Amino acid sequence: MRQIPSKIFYLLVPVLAVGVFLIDSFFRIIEHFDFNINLSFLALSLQNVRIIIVIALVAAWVIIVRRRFEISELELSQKLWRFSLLLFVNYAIAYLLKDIILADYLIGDIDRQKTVLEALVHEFYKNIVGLMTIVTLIPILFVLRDLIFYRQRRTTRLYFNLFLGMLLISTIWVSYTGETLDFLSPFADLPNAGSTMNIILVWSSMIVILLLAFRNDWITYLPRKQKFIYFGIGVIVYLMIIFLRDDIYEGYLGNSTVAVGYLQEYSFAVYNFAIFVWLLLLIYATFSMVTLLMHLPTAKAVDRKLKELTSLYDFARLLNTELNAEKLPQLITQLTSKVLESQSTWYMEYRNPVAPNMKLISHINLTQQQILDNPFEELNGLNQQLLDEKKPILINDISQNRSLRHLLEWKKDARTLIAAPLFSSRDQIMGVVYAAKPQPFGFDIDDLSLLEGFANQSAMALENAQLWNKSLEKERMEQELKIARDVQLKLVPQSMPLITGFELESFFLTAYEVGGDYYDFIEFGDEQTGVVIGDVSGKGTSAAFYMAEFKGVIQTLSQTLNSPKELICHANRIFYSSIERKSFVTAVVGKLIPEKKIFQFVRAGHTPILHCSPKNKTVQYLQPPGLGIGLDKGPVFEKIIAQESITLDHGDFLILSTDGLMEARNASGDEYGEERLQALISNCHTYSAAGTKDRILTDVMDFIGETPLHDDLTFIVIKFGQGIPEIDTPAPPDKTKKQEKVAK
Amino acid sequence: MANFDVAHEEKGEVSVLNISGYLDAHTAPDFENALTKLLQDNRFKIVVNLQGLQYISSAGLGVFMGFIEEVREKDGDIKLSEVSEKVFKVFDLLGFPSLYEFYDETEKAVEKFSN
Repeated sequence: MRQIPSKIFYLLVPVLAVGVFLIDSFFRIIEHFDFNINLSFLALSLQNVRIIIVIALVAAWVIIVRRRFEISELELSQKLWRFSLLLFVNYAIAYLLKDIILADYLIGDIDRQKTVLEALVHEFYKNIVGLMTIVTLIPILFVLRDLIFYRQRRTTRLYFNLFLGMLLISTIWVSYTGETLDFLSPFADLPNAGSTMNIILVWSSMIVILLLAFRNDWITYLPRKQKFIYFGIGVIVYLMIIFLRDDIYEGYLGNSTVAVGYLQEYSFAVYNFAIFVWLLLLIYATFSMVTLLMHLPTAKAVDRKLKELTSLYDFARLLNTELNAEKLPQLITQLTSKVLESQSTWYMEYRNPVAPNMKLISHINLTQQQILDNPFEELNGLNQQLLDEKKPILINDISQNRSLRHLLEWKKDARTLIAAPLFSSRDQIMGVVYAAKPQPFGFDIDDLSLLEGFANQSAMALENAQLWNKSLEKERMEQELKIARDVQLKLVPQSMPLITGFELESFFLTAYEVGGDYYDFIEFGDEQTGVVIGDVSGKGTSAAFYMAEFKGVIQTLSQTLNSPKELICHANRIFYSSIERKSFVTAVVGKLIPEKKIFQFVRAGHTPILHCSPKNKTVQYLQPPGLGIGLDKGPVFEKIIAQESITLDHGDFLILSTDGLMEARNASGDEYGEERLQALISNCHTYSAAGTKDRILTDVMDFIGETPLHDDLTFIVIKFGQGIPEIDTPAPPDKTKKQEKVAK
Repeated sequence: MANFDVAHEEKGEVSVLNISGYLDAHTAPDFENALTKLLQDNRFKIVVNLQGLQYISSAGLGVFMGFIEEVREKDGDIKLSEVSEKVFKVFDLLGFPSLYEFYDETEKAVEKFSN
C-alpha cells in the first residue's frame, strides 16, 4: 500500500465516484423507460459491484487524508478553521445545487419525477451528497481525533479506538440487516423499533461518545481573547452541526416535512457512518460549547496565570543571556514594565561608597524633572521598609496613605505603587525595582507575587553578571601576571658563563608569579666576570619592579667600574634616591679572578656566603660588614661596607643564596637554617657544581615537603677546580670570546 | 602564624612601643599605624622594645626605615631595645646597628633621650 503513489488514489476517487453515478443512472434510465428486460441477475451483480466501489471510494479517501492532509501538524486554530470550513462546504454545495442550480429540476419524491432529466438530476444530487459526505466527514473525524487527543490520558486512545470499532460494527450490522440505527425505541414506542442488537450497539456507542466528549482540554489553555472568538464562531459552527443531519444527510427539501433520504439512498453504510460521526460531532460540540461558556468568566484569571508563567520564564531566559551588568538594569525595567503593564517603572541601585544610598539606574517613563527630584535616594521610608521586611510592597492608593501622600507631588500619575527589593544570594541588598500606575488599585495581589519572582530573577542575573565580570577581570590579571613572570624570567641569565677554572650553577624560583630575587653575571671594566645575587625587600609586584631597576643599575655601572665595592657604593647612591623609603635591597657582588685564584666580594646586608674548603676541611660563612642598599644615602654605607678577598683552592665551593634558602619553612614552621646547609655542603666536595645544586635542592624540597614556598628561592653554586668544567647549556658567542681572553 | 601586637607606653617625653609576635608583610601596617600616630601627636622620641618579637621580615625592617628620616629631622630618634639574639641577627646582617642604637634595657634607651 505504502509503495502505491498518492496520485493513483487521487485519480481513483473521481473515477470511482463517476462509476457509482453511471451505475445509478443506468438503473434509473432502464427503470424510466421501463424496458421489459429481465435484468434481475445483472442488477444483483451490479449492485454488489456498486457497494464494492463505494467502499473502495471511502478507503481511497481515507488513505489520501492520512497521507496528504497532515492534520496533526497543524496549529490548533488551523485545525478548528479546517473543521469549520469542511462543515461549511457541505452547506455551500448543497445550497448551490439544491436551491439555485438544480432548483427547478430537483424533485425529492421519485414518483413525481416525470422526465429523464429530473430522474438523472435526482441521481446526480444524490451522488453529490454521498461524495460530499465522504470527502468532508473523514477529515472532520481526523480533526476531531486530534482535538480529543490534545492532552492524552491513558484511556483516551482506547475510547477513541473503541468508538471506531463500534462505528465499523454498526456499519456492517446495518448494511447486513437493513435496519437503521435506533436511538429512540427504548424511550418511545415506535412502530419500526430496532432489534436488541441494534439498541445495544447504539447505546454502548453512546457511552463511548459521552466519554470522548469530555476530552476537551484544548479549551482550558486557550488565551482569553481566543476563548471569546471561538465561542462566537462556535455558535455558528454548532448550528451547522445541528442541521447537518436534516439538511444534508436526510435531505429535507424546501418546506417539505418528509425527508428525501438522499444519503440513505446513496449508500446505507455511508449513511449510518455519517449519522454515527454526526452524533459524536453533536455531542462533542455541545460539551465543548458548554466548557467554553463556563471558561469565559475565568478566562481572564487563567490568562493572567498563564502570562505570569510565560513571562517569568521569558524574564529568566532573557536576563540570563545578558551578562553585561551595565545593560541589565535597563532590561529589568523594560521587562517589568511590559509584564506588569505599568505606566512607569524605575530601578534604584543600592550603593555604599561612604554612606549607603540608592541611585536611579534605569527607568521607563520618568521625566527629566522626576529623575532629578527622585525621592527614593535616601534609605528611609519605603526603601527602609523594603530592606527590613525583604518583601515586596503594594500601595493601592497613594493619596489615601498619609506617610506617602507627598510622593504625588513628585509624580502626579503614580497612584498605585508596587516595589520589590533585590537581594543577592548572600542576602545583601542590591537594589529596588519600582512600578507605578496612574489609577488607584492598578496592581493586584498577583502582580505582587509576580514582581517578587521578577526581583529574585533579576538579583540572580545581576549577581551572575557581576561574577562573570570579576572572573573576566581575574583572568586578565592572571594573564598580565603570566606575562610579567615571563619577562622576569628573561631578566636572569639564560645560561652560565664559561670561566676557566670555575664551575657555575644557579637556581631561581619565585614564590608567587613574580618576585624580588635577583642574580646575574656581569662584566667589570677590566673584563673580569662578576657575580651578583640580590633580594629586594617585600614581595610580589613592587619587588619585581625594583629587581628590574636594580639589574639595570648594576649592569650599567659594572661596565666602567673594576671593584665590587665601587660598584655597590655607586649602586647605593643611585638606588637611595629612587627607591621607596621603606624598601631596600640586599646583595652580594663578587668578582672572579681566575689568574690569581681569588674571589673578591662585598656584602650589602645580604645573607652570608658559604665557603667550603676541602683542603682546610672547613665550612664557614663569610660575613664582612655591610649595609643594605637604599637604607643610607651614602656616607654610612660607604664607611661600613668592607670588601674582602679569599684565595681559592682546588675543590673549593662558594654558595651564594638569598634568605629564601635559609628561611625555607616546613609545615611546622621550622626554618631550613644555616647549620643544615653547612652540614650538607661539608659532605659534598666530591660532587660537581651541578651535583651540589641538585643536592641542595633535593634537601630543601625534602625539608619543606608539601608546604608552599613563602619566599623566593635563589642560589648560585661556584666550584673552583682545574680544567674546563662540563657545561650542559651551550654558551653564547660573546661569553666564548671572554673565555678566550681569560685563557690568555 | 602567631599574631603581632603593639602596646604603647608613655615615659615622660619618650614613647615606648612594645612590639611582639611576628612582624612581616601582613602585620607591618599595624606597626606603621602605631608609628604614624606617634608622629601625628608630635612625639618623636621613640623607643621600640623588641622583647616579644619572634620574627621580622624585610617588610618589617622597612617600617623602621620609613620613619627614621622624618623623626631625625624633628630632633627625635627611634632607638631599639631588648632585642632577642635571633632577631638581632637579622638586624645585624642588614647593617642596622650602624643606623640605629640598640640597647639591652628599655630604661637605658629612655634615659639616653634625656641626656
